[in-house]
Amino acid sequence: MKRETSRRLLSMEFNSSSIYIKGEGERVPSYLLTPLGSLVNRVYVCGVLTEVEELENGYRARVSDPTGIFSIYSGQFQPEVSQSLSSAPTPSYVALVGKGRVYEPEEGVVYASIRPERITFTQKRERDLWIVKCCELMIERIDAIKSCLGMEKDENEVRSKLLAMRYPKHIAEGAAMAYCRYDEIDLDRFTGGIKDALEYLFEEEEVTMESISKEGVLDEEVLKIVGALEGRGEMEGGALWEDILEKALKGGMGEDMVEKAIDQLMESGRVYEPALGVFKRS
Amino acid sequence: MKEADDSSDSNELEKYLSMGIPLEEAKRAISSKSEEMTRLSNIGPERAGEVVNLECKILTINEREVNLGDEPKKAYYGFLVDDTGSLPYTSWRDIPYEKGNSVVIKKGLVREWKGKAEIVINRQSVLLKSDREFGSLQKKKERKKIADVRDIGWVTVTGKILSAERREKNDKKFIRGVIGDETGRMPFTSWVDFGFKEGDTVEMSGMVRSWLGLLSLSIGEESEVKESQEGVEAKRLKLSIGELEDRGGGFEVEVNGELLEIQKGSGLIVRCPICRRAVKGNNCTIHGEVDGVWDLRIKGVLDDGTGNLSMIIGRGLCEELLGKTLEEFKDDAKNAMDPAIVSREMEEKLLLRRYEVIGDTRSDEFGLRMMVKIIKPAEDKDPKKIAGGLLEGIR
Repeated sequence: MKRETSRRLLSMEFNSSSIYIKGEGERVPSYLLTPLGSLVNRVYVCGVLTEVEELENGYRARVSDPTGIFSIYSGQFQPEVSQSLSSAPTPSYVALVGKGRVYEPEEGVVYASIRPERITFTQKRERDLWIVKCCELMIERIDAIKSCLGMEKDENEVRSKLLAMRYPKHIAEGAAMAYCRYDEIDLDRFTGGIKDALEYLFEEEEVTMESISKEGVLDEEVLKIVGALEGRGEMEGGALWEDILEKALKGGMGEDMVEKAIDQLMESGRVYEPALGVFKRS
Repeated sequence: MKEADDSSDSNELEKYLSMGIPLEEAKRAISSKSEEMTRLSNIGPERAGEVVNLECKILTINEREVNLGDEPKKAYYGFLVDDTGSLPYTSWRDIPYEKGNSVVIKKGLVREWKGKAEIVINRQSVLLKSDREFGSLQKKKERKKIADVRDIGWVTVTGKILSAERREKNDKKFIRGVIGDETGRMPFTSWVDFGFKEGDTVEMSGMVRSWLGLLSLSIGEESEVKESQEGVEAKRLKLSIGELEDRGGGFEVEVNGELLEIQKGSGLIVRCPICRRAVKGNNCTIHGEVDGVWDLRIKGVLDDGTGNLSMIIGRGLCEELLGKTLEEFKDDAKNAMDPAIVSREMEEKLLLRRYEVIGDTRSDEFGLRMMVKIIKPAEDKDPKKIAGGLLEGIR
């Protein structure tokens, strides 16, 4: 039997799926059919592990991307994954491969989750590249669905037309199924999600773990934060301690690191405190 | 020779059908009566079961013994060409002619073999000598870029000779090598010494055939090889794994993806010193009790979201990837008293990471299999750069 390829898709597409194609008989794979025509049996995700919860016989975890979260369930048959999750710090960047699962409380209502086979820690850069790859493939799928518009909803015919238009096999197959089986596909919503995810990568440079580890860089980063926040509100043209802290924490610094950096900046005279809890560059 | 006449054909067909003969059988029966000559390029796998008449040149004659039932039977096989194309053939009877002779084949049977058409010459067939020349074939040979060579048949490519090794087997001398252009590479075997050497840029024509599941160019007496003035930069075919699946594999192709699984049979293994198979407890299934040889390998799954392949990474590449030698791994296993410690280290260091991989890829019922020649961590890309391009596209 051929191994199932792990699909790349943002949580938004994964969680919007309401069609589950159950494999009949032994060793016939089941698929979650997404509205964009990804046939998900296996999936690969890079994201931020935000929460881990111990269950009776395993772990539940949340992995987030810019469009939402993936629900992760790891049971007794994945002891290595469960072990990794039990000691994983949050938030942290993780990469995982797993099988798509569904819970169907009633007809047409599908809750999709992932049962991980393998999980490891990774870096921000890899997560960013994963987002980009997902967007690339989602754009390709949206394009294929657009090409279907107006065609009669006959799966075989739509598929062969797409193949004739030179879409790769895996794209043509999924797009034909999604187009024929979903009543309506809100392409604009997905395009919007892709845009958000890509623009997210351009948001103001956050302070990364890597840059902090470099000696002396920390002070500079905090100084940048002060500069960016200066002049918001009345605060003597300075930046509020709480705002500085919040921003720095988001960037992955610890509270004590920020405090130390501010101390050093004050000592060297590059920053002063015009009012209690307000900091300004000299 | 009578030309095809549609109206009389359809009348004939109606006659058969009105007599209650099934359509397929009626077509076969009519085609076997026909005197019409069929051109090779008009014969595809969809015509399997039809009987055809051909006028063509026997390009090659090879012999092989087939065991059907009790006694071995001789079969001949090779290629037929006419002005329009070429097809492989199998003959179950002696061919009283030599390669290069032109013949008329009456009542040859078309059959499908692995999705392609083939001509079968059997007892019903008639072989006659023909005087017709098929000399113009050389000019008709299709020029192709190497990446576009997807099927067996005659082809002309222009590329750089990347390797050319002289060998000898059963007193037969030949040259085995690799030719490459800017779209990809392919192996070739030359049975004639045209005098080219590594580094030369040549235009060569030959027969594409399947060699160990990969396409290879066979250069023989019918071939033409000449120096080319084209500036060719030889590159590897780089593609997504999904595209590679659609192609069914390829020689020295480059793909990019995540290592998503390290399978059983990876890590420290013991091989039979005779057959190189992995053995358990120094017991080879073929050679019995043996003095096993330690080795290192990874059987992994590479996946890029469009497709996946299973790949075998040998000892040298494993040592390079992990920065440790076989001897060091053996010590680790000895100290831990557990050989599985090696595959666990592989998992920890390599799993769920991106790699660039180059290798020979074949496909079977389990999908693509690659013998890895080069593997390295994937080149770092700038996500913002790609994201910027994508945003441009959807704005």
